[in-house]
Amino acid sequence: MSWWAALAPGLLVGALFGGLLFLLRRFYDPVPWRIAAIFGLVVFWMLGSVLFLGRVLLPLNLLWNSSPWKDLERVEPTALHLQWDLVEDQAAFRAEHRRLLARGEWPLWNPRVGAGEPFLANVSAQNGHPLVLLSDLLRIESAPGMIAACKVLLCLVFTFVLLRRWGIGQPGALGGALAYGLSGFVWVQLGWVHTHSAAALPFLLYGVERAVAVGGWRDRLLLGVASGWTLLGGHPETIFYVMSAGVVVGIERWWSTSTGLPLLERAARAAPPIAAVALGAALVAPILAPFVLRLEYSRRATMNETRIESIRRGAQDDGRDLAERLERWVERTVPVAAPVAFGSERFGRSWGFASIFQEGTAFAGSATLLIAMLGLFAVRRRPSWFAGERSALLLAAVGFLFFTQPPGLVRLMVEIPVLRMSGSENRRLSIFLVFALAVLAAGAWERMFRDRRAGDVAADLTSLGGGHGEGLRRPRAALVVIALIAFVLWGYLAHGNPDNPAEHERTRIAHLALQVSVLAGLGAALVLAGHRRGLGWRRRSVWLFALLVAVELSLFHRSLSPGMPASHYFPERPSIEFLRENLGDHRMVGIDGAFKPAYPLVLGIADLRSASPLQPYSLVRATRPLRRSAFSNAIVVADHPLLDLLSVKYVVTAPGDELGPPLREVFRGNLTIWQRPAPMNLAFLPNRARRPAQGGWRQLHEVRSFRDLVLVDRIPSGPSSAELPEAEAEEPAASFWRATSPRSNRVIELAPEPAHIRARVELGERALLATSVFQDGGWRALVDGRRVESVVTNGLFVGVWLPPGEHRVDLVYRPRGFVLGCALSSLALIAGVAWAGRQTLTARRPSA
Amino acid sequence: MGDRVESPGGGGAAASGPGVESAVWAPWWLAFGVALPAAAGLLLSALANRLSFLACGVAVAGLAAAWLLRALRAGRGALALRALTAGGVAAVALGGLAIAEIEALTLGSAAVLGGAGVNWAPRALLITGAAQLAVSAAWLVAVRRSRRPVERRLETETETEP
Repeated sequence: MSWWAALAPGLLVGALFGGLLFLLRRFYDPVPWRIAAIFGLVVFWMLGSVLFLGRVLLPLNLLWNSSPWKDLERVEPTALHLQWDLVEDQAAFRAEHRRLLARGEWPLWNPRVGAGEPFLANVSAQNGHPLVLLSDLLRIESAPGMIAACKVLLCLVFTFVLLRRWGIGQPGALGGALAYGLSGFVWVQLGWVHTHSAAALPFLLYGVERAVAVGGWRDRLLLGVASGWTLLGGHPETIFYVMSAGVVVGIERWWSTSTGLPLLERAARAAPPIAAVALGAALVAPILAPFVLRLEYSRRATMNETRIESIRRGAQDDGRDLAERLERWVERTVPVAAPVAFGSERFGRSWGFASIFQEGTAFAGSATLLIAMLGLFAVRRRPSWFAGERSALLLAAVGFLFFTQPPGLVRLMVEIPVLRMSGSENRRLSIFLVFALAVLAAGAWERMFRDRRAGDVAADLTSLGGGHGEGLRRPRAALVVIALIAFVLWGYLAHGNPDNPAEHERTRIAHLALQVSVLAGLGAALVLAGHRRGLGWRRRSVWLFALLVAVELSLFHRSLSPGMPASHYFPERPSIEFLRENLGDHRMVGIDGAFKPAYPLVLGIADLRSASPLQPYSLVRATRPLRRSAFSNAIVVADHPLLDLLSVKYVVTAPGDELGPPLREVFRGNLTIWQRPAPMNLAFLPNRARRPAQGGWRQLHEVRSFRDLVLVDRIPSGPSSAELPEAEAEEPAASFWRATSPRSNRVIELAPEPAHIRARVELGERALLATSVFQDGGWRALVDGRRVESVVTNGLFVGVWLPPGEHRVDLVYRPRGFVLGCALSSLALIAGVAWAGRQTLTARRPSA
Repeated sequence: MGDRVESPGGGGAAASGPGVESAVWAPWWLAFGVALPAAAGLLLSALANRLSFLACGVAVAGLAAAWLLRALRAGRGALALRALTAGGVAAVALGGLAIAEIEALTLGSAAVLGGAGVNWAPRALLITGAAQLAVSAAWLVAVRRSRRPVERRLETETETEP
């Protein structure tokens, strides 16, 4: 990688950061330069190697475990092995997304995975997200680092300006911003789509605050943009949480800012922010609608249904009595204060209730937790509440409840619409907990240091004359500090590895020491030193919260996202070159984990497998005979009629693995490539067609040759049906069809493109053009340019009946949700622009 | 400060008449001149699956927005008129391009929208654009006619001043 390419992500992030600061300064609330510099330094410290040194923020060490990259040089440090879906899912879809955009087309259809998939129905590619689109300016391997840095900066900047808006001084707001921006929720899942939601949370809340409390057209524009931004986040569960937080904060702020107004006027003041959110949502409808309409047909949805049923049967309780379940609940509260008490996959393994990806997400720093608790139990309330604090309390309670899951909660949750859809049992509501802790700690810090003589004036450095600790009730504060230190000590010391107590003990003790040092140091400074007037460091100590948070959280989380060498980003191999050159319009499949699912997609090679949970479930079900288990994405069968139907030309194995005839070895290297004898084309003309019995798509698994027989949902009556053999003729005429002269029917030309398959056929009789292209309802058929009704072949593929003669057939993919979304988006754009124009002029007129 | 007199080309804050009070018309200019090309570009790009339509619409919308911004700041209707005209031209051009593109592919919007049988979206855009151009032209004529007496009166007042 050239030095320019290595620097490019850093420069792009710098330019975007500068642009954001300019916009905020020009139109909204400024971020002081020194604060901006601190944010910049924090991001540089945490992600400098991926922004300026050409490292890649992906767990590329996972490539070492599978052919054809087992020969890659081992390097240290390595990324977490649990991050597999960053390379097997997101990286693959991002790569294809780029290719489709480069064709000058919408990314509507992904032809290189499974039997083709609706692209927009899979949010793994983070379709349309502004940060992701901006990252397309960079080399693909540099994009994850740039996106991650931008997400962190958004967390920092918008939490800061939001807290400032809510009346908190710079030191408290900086501490709160760092607590959230460096929290476990953001850093443990940095590469994932979840953190798009994490970054959107303060952005949306800031938009809500501006639109409700200020209410200019720019504020409503900001809220509309923030809403659209949030909805494009790519992770439905956390998007729902963030939007819910927006509603909670919006209601609180609307209620408190419209106090004293008549009811109708109050209601009228709520309308513009709601309209702004609706317009923002409508603008992103083309991206959202296809996903929303297809979600229930995904593998994830079916897996969720299975999970819900097992919870209803009481599988979660596991026969434990209430006392034991309560004890486990108390244990689940430990990671809020001691995130690596149960170990961590980063050092080896975790023995807690889940992996580090759940246990580590609720940690916002020991200092944050201590100050938030002091705020709740030991700080004099003056003023009674800062704006947004009551909402933060509610969010904290909800976040804590769902993260720790007291007995009975999960059982209750599966009966509640929407909430039941969460695969993590809504543990990711820890996003509320870390954000609310940051807000509550910032508010508490502000109260501690606010000058009593300055009254309720928003504190900044000039109003901090009262000295720290003045707002504390010291005996209570001492108790809180001691209790929290005791809890952390208990968390670490009472929960060692039950199988091997010595495992990771040094690492755990190091974390414990760091946390206790922070808690004891900060506690002592607040409780003891506050008595002593005349200390020289008193005024400077207002920054102590921010400093401790930055130091502690960066030490905790910096090693979670190490950059990997760019040379390890899916490097070329002769076997890959062979596949790319010879596969044509066919597909390949790796057997038993060789060339893992989606790795070929990164390299532009069509693969039957998919690791994405949003894969259409009907394809998973149809290919069940090829899989080891119902939901597994691994294919274990190398020769099956379904593989013929699905146009699989090559089967790939690890070197040394042998496959017998009829497969033929055609390449040997880092991968062994086997050619299948008779893969079918993407579109073909079968000799016979039959309507399956009611609900009888399982007959698909009984068909021996799909060249000969295709199952089809509709057979138009006609002369061919009358010429059936005697056995078949006993069935109703429209149940069977057979070609009378198969040799007179042929496909002359076949030109598949991503969302458009063009074919020329020559037919001596009416015939069925069948395909192995997944029909989700979005494929339309045109024969000689005129729309005809398509049919479903073999239970899930698109097909079309054709009249005799020579014809041009176009199969065009336009998902209805996308087109309708574009129409909605167009209307919203016109309405929004006209509304903004009216607002501007109404605002100008009085001064004219 | 008294009422401003309409400068040649429209705008200003005088009493009434087309093109006189730019503020009154601005939401419509924005909607037609700025949003329509962008919206049309988006919709047509979806139907024809060509991002170039969207880029085209956004580019024209950007240009129209820049003109409008200047018009609003200067209180001049002529610039706003240009934006409106640009919107109309863009709509006509995009509609024409879309019809050419879609028909070249023999992929009518009928294929997309369930067999309506016509490429209604690009044609609707063509009609809208043409109507917008007609409105622009009528407006321009109306502005000029409404200005003439004012200009004559101004000239007379100037001549009679000491």
